[in-house]
Amino acid sequence: MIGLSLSRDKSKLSLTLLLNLTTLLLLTQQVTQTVSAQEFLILNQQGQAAVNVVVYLQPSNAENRIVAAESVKAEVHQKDKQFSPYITVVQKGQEVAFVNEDDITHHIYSALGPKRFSFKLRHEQAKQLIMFETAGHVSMGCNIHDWMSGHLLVVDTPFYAITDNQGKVIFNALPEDDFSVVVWHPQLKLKDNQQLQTFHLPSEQSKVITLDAEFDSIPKQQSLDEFEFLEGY
Amino acid sequence: MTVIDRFVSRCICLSLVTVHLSVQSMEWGEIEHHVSGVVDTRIGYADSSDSYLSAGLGKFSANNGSQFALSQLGLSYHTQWGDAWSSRIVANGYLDGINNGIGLTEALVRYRDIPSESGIRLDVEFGLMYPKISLENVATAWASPYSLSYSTINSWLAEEVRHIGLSTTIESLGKYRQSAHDFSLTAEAFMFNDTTGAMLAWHGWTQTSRQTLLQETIPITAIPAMQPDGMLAEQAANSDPFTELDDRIGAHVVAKWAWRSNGNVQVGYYDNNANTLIVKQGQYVWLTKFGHVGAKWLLPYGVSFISQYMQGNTLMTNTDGLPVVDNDFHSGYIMLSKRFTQHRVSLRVEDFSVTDKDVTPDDNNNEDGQSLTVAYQYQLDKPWFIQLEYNVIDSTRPARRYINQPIELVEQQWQVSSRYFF
Repeated sequence: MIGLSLSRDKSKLSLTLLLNLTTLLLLTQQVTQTVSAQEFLILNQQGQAAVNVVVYLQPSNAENRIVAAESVKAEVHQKDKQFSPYITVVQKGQEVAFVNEDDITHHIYSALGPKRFSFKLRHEQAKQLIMFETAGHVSMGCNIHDWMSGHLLVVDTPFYAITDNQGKVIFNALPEDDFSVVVWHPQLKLKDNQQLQTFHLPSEQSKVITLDAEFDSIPKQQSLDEFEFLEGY
Repeated sequence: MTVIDRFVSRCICLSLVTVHLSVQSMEWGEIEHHVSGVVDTRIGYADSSDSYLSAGLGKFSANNGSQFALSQLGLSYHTQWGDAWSSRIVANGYLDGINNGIGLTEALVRYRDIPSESGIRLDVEFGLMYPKISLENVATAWASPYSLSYSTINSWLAEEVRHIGLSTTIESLGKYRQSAHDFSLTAEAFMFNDTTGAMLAWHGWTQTSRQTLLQETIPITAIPAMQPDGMLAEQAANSDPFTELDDRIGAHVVAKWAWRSNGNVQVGYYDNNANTLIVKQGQYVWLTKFGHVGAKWLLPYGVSFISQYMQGNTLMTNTDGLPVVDNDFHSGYIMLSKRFTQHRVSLRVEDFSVTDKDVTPDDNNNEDGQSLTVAYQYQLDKPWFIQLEYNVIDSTRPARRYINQPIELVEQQWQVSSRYFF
């Protein structure tokens, strides 16, 4: 549509139109920077969809790391003595709500990485909000129920997602730039649990990334005793 | 002071210093209170003889015949203050017409901080407690999720292997090392258990869910050696399981390896370090030592495998140090348990023995037996369980002839229980 308008404008060489043309060109530049969507397909070593892995894109131009859009609210639930979801990803500077859906107290902690915290969450307590100011991997546990295990990845980019059941993620509004594309999972057997590749994006085709390593088995968040009334003996 | 005393004293000092330092650095917040409990009501029939609870040699807590009982009213009162400190007081009550009672079974203060950066966690408990041995008794008020009657090993713990002590566990959590393996080492130092071993000698292994209350003493089956002219004439009619007679400290160590959610294995050694030359108010001091191993493993098809084995010796002497009771003992069980939706089926087999090595006349402690337990549990509602259980014990015990009972005996028990946890 914009292209057609420009052709018509070019045939009438008046000063007003020239001014209009300049405005349109500027607008065009801005619009083409943000409208393109980019799909990724993540495959494991066997070529099957890698489900529930984090994909985040770091643009080389620092200006592109900032988007004005309101950040998504993230919640980490404790349900049936499990962290749910198992993996959460948020942008640096975002607040995360911890919500206890069980009828018992949990003692949530992170003793390692960029953000260390420890708090008890009683069942009647609505939620606890925690701000994550530094990027990195936050491994969470419960000091009462040792089998509980959850992961939070704090990224310094607005472009992050978790793969669906087909191993796909779609980023809807990418600026044109060179991106470091990072695939991360706490059980990915690579240094820092991540694989990094560089692409110039957006591209018209879906990008396929095949992981170079296998996954460790995901720990079952379940007590060996399978009983609701355990007392920490 | 013996070497072990010095070692244990140092352990206590080190732990107290560590705990003290932590107290200084913590913020004291609001104290939280929490009460949990279990009400276990049973109807049962036993094909046995008079229970060991009423000074007989019957191996169940029920006498021969039918029984209706409040088999456990367990209450556990917890407080928590700050992130790391908590306490637990457990009271149990029994109303069975044989040995009714209500009292404390555990009372302890616990310090359990979150792991350090390197995944090391300190867990310290002080008070009236069980040694960390049982793999069955993990539910409210030391109940077992699997069976109504505990294995013979854990029935013995419930009866007379408890103490006032300090338990220090250091754990290394694998997830901090990118590993699926956790390791822990527990060192326990304790007192107030100087008669541990007496009941194992005098009525042998039992199968029960009865936990001796703090104020209780346990009746001893009349044996000829306890007659006025016998070698055990000085022994009181009841054994006091939680008494301190020699002012010496015993020790127990357990090492545990856990492989993520696949299972865990533990190995431990217990020595109450007692001075057997002492006898006070009819209570002899028993030197009891045993090693134990145990494993809990999740097998294919969601079947839980739980097994423990214990082997040791208990010695009681006269004040000159000559052995009066000198017994080797062993017991082991293998249990398989499978839960599917609200159903759980558990199967347990056991083998146990006591070998009498002394020459005291009229006090034969030999015993050899096997046992089978089949339990079915139905969860009516989240807190409410109906359980059906069958126990059979086939044992040889020559001492039964002292009370005109067959040396070879098969005892059976059928129980239906309503257990409500809250």
